[in-house]
Amino acid sequence: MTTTTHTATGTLLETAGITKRFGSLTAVDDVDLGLGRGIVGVLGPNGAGKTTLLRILATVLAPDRGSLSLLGLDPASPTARTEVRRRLGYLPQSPRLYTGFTPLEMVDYVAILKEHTDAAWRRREAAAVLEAVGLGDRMHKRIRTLSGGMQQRVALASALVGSPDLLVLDEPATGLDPEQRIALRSVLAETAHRGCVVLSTHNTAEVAALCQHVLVMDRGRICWSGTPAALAGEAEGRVWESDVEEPTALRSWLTGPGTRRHVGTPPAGASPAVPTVDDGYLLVTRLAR
Amino acid sequence: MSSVLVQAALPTARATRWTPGAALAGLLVAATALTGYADRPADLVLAIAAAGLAATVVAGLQDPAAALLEALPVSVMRRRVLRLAVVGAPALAVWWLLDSLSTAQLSGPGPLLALTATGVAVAVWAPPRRAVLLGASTPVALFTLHQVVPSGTTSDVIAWWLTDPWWVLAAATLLCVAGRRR
Repeated sequence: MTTTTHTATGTLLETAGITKRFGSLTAVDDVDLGLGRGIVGVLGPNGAGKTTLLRILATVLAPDRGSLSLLGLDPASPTARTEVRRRLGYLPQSPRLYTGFTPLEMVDYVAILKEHTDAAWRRREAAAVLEAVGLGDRMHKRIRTLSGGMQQRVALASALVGSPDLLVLDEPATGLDPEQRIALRSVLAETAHRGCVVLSTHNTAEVAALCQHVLVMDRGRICWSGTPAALAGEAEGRVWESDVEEPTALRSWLTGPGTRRHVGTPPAGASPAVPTVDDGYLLVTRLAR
Repeated sequence: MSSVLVQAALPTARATRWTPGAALAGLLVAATALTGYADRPADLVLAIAAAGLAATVVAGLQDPAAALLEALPVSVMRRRVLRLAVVGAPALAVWWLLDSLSTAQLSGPGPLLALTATGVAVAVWAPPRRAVLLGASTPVALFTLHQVVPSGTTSDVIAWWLTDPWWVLAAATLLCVAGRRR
């Protein structure tokens, strides 16, 4: 049983023993969560179950086992699920858009399907979220003429429309340049003031800069949970650099300057390096196996 | 909810690919007019029309942005119904145009509706990744089987969409309702 608790003012998202299988593969295995306001990053290698977990949290998939409470409601009931979805923003992995629409029309369409029927309010809100993601000057261009990063931001704006209390984002920074990533952080930080943001990423730097809490997943389970600083702290005294390969290291890789960085148990005489979130992540995923 | 669907109708129509359906409709109108001009029976053209239009309507369920819209309060079933209405209305209009141009015995929208409902039922119950492809192929497959299977019980069953379209429509609709949560 995995237990993860993120304490904040009130629990917005709670799971108990949720499990999801696809045939013989257990994509999410007995996951317990309790998340409040703030930004939670889900890290893990490919195939760890991050996307499946996020799809469950976004009410797209129902767990095979376990219980789920989102915004105090049980999405297993169709009425409660609809109510949760009114207050939920979801960005799937690699979303596709209607390329003949403009960003404003796309976000407006999503707002209609979020049951916002006041057309004037909707237009204002769509324009505001497009401004927030830095597309204010492109909102009347056809989506097919926008770059991949801009299209990703249109999808993000669609998730943000209506000020959701729960935001579930599957790799939101994909295709964004460094400037856009920084802008994304501001947008998400603002959302996190009023609600819960859960995002998956492969980018540990993103997690360190943005998230108050990190979950590391491997093989469907949450193998580590805590703050980004604590994740880096896992590697305290267990990361070192040298010019040669270290057969006893759990993981080793070549760094830019040409030295080798290792995580594991350092040999006698090795001088420890300052640990990063990357080091902590590599260590906990290796130890989990 | 109805207000939401009314407001969503126009953008849904804009998000739909119309070119294949429009091209098919043009071909069918031309073929029906030619058979009428040549004083030839148009039953086969109308049967092809039923299959082709039904396949086009079911293909209209294909939503490129489906993943982005998965977690919205307007469920996938309601969005499918909206898409069917948006694409189905012009398909019915084309059908009536063909029916009025021809003197075929195959009159009334029964076969078109039966094939469409069967295709939708297949799309509802098929694995999500191939649902629309399988659903849209079903009307064409039923038409083709009807043409190639020799007379007998199997042929009679395959031809239900022509001989008993309203029963087929009812059964397929029930299957769609049963799978509405999928």
